[in-house]
Amino acid sequence: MPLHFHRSDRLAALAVVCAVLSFASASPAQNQFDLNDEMFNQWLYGNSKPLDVASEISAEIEGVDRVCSLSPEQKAKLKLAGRGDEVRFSERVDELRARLAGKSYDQNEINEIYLQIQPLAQEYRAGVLGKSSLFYKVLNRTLEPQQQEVFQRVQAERRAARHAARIGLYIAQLERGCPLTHEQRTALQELLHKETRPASQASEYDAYVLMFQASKIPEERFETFLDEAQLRMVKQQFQQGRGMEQFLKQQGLLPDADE
Amino acid sequence: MDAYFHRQLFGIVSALLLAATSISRLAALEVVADVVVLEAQVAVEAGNIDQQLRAQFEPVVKVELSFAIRACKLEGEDRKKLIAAGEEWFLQFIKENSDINHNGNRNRAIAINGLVRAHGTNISRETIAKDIVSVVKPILTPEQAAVYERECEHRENAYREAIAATLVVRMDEKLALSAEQRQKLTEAFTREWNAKWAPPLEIFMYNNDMWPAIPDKIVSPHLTPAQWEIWTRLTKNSQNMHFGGWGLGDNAQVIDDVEFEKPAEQAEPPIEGVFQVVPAPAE
Repeated sequence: MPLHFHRSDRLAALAVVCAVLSFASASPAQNQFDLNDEMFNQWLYGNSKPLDVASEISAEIEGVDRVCSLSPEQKAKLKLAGRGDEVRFSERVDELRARLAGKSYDQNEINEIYLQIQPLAQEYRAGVLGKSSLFYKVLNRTLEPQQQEVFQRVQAERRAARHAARIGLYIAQLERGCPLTHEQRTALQELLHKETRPASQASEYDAYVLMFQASKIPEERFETFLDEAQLRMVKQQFQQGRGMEQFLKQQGLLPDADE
Repeated sequence: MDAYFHRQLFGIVSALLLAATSISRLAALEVVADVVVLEAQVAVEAGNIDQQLRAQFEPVVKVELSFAIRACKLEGEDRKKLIAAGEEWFLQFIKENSDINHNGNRNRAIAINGLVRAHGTNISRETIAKDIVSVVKPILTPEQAAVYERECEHRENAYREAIAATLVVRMDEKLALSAEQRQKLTEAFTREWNAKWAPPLEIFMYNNDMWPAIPDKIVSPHLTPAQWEIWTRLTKNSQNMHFGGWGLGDNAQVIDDVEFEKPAEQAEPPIEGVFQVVPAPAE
């Protein structure tokens, strides 16, 4: 999957330049920025601690084992696959670190350096054992049909829990500007539960996936429990969800047809 | 000297913004929105403080009054009386806090896509809501007051449940929790709820990578060693900041059925172009 740099990355990089510029100005003789290991980790992992995929592998295998009762062979295969992901990722990190860390950069270069680290950082945040990982592929191939069935059911439950939480959060956010009585809150919650489905995958756009689906619910359904002023607000919000349709489709975030 | 000072201040803000990047990076491969928390000594022109306080908190007060009106089904003179009392309280609130804010508080802000979107404050929305309760109650009949109290309680519970459930779901994505663990953690967060660690709702709306500093004793009994190891490695930060307004996004829309006699003058936004929250479509 190609990685694109968007405005956010460029702005973050701009922030890097701002910081470097200002510190450089604080010490005119030191107009360079040293990218040490700690800062490299900070930019890559979001903290200064080094990579720890081992715990992630253990937790993932534990999670599958709990519901599918994995055999020792299956566990070993998954562990090996997870290690493969770890090694592949670590090699790329090491290569990048060797190329970038432990060097000094001027204010023009640091922007570019930050952007070079971002693709790996994005992969790390998405999870080294994510859907495109070797671990995930091996998991799909290794599970027996009966295990697969249980696993998929549990995954569906997790998606449902996520969706229920998203609805609760959406309503709490709505109430920041649009007060609801207990009765109205309950009715809205029930309607959204009934008429919307979980996003195909978790993302920061879950709220928009929900609002988009809510925008498709006939207005009369809301009129039964919301007053005019509340309806105006809710409609404005749903309008935003509708405006995101193309983007959500492109990203493959709208619910699967068979969900 | 001034230029030097401003340059240094700008640098500090930028550096903090960078540091805060560790707190909050969005998880998608194609990142199109970037949320950070930054902290700075915010310099506010003395003359603008009243306006900014009004702009920041008037929507909260109006929503709280509108909530009371709906909960108690107030109409006519009762409704007017409540709004007038609320406005009177609000004017006093501005006066008192204007003096405090002249001292230049250390503030936090949420920046989305590099632009400051919401300013943190030492005043929580919950504090205002509580104060409004004390304004509203004397105007209500005992029956209405009882209904209002119940509605406040329901709302508070729904809010806590929503935050607790969201936290657990996000933990599940990182730690592969069992159904039982999800349930126990949700119960623990709701039961042990404390404003000192409970994250503000605004953080969750657009950020999938920010973790509150929940005390270990609440979390650890429910995790396996492997899960605990992952949990302890996540960067936590205490969210003892408040976003006095109305949450992020949606262009700060609030219900429009409460009008004050003296409407707020249009306050200058603290930073130009702050209302940019909808992620840009992929290129």
